[in-house]
Amino acid sequence: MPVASELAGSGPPPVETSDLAVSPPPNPYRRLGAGLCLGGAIYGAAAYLLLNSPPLAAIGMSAVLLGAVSFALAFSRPQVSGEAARLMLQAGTQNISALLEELNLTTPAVYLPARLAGGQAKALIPLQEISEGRELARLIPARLIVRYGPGEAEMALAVTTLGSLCLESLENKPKPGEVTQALSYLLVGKLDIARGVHCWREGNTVQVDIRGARWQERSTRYTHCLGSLAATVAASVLSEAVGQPVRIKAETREADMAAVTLEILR
Amino acid sequence: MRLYNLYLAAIALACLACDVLLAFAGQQELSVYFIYNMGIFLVVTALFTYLDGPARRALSAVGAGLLLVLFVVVILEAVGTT
Repeated sequence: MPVASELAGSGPPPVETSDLAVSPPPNPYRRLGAGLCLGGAIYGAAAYLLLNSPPLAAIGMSAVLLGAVSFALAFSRPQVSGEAARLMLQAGTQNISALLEELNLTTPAVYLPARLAGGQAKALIPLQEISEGRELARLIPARLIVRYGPGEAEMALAVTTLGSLCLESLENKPKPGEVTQALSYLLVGKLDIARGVHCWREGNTVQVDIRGARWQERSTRYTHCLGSLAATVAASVLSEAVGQPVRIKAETREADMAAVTLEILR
Repeated sequence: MRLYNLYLAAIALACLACDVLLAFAGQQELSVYFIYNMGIFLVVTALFTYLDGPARRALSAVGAGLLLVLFVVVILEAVGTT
């Protein structure tokens, strides 16, 4: 049991952001792989040795190959089920929404690269709208409520978004010319919420077109300030790639096509 | 996981189609079937560029294993012809 001196010690304890420990759900790819490898090997051997039929044995060989591929895909399965992940994401966004409503913040967020935000990419929701990158005069500390300038009102909430965490799954920091590739990897391959991504740059504006968008989001204070699921990822990736603060300028959605306009703040 | 299911389905259909076509062509060499299936695996895997990092590494290991088997097949064929 902690004693009073420990409790009163040196300020609040640091917030641990360790991984959530949840037993992984059953992996269908592993089961499929085991079944195909075993079945294919027995069938192939029987067809080749007993029936002396190479074409039938080839079907068994293909099944073994497919089983090996299925085993390999088992490594891509998430550690938590999709439903659990959805509920955790919803809980996080609802909590941030409640916080924003309580503080009456309505300004659009500014996405900061890791080098400006104390080692981890963050989204800054300021009291007053930030329109230029040089307004972010000082390095943002790794705290929730931060001061980014000398002025009285130059304060903001610094929150970790889905995009900030997605950046950690990239093997290398994206370069300015690799934004489309990094976004495709994250939105299509990792998060599985889109079918394709294309983006292009015009001066300080970057347009991101997302095909086959599969996420559904209610309009909340969270989406008003921070943008949709894919927009947060796009803004975080662009911010990290160019090393500059980025803001979501506009966002539209028509059926399964989504378009996000991002602005690089200088 | 739709991308991964699509990838698995693409390999399954391509391998099946290849085996059926070779069988109709009267091919009786198992090594020929193996080489075609391996080619299909490599091409389809190269086309799916946005697979997850761990899955891609595991698939590279599968590809390396297939190349090893191909090496053995080539040696056995070479020994068989001499």
